[in-house]
Amino acid sequence: MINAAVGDVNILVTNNGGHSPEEWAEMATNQIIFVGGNSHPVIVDQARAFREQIHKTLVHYFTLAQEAERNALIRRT
Amino acid sequence: MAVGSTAMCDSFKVDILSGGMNFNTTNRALSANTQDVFKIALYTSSATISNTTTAYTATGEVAAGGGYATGGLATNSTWSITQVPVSTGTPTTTAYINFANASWTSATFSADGALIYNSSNSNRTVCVLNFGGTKTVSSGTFTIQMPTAGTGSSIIQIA
Repeated sequence: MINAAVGDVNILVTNNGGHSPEEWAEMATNQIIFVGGNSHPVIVDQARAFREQIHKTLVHYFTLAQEAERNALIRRT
Repeated sequence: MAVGSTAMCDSFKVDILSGGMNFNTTNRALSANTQDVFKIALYTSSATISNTTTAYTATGEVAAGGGYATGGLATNSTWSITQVPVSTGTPTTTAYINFANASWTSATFSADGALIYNSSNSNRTVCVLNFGGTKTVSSGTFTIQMPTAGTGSSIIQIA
């Protein structure tokens, strides 16, 4: 038998503005690493720790990129 | 009236066996090596879409305006297929594809679900996505975050 499946999507909405660095980082992290539920618990723990580290790193650099863009805009005006 | 559960459309299963859906850019046996154009449309709670829906319908779709255009986003312009069909995951017995996140900016509307369909083939449906409730955006960004490409997670998988 062949099984066909549809994956889960996540909906993100904002009010009066775009996504925050944290939201962009969450989306990017989800594209980079997927932690499956069928792996050995030790592997799952390691993957989750790695995922958290990626997320923190992306938030940091996205925030820096945001600040750099704002500074560039200020210099142009 | 409502948006049905997240599911692959019944007609899609027939269409993929009939060569009516091409997510790839090469190796198509039946026609030219041209990837079909897929679209994603948003629907309100007044829509009647489910796994039995065979083609795109404008009934119950989010109204045009407020950052939304009727018919939704298309893979040949503001959206894209990020993973053409492969079976390189673990196990390799699962084939999958994936789409990019779908985003509407400067948006003001509410949506309860979405329909992915093939505008290159009579707007035949691929799958229904249920958001689990009404999602409202106001002068902001509405993003459907697609799952990670891979076995066990991708938006469309055949195992």
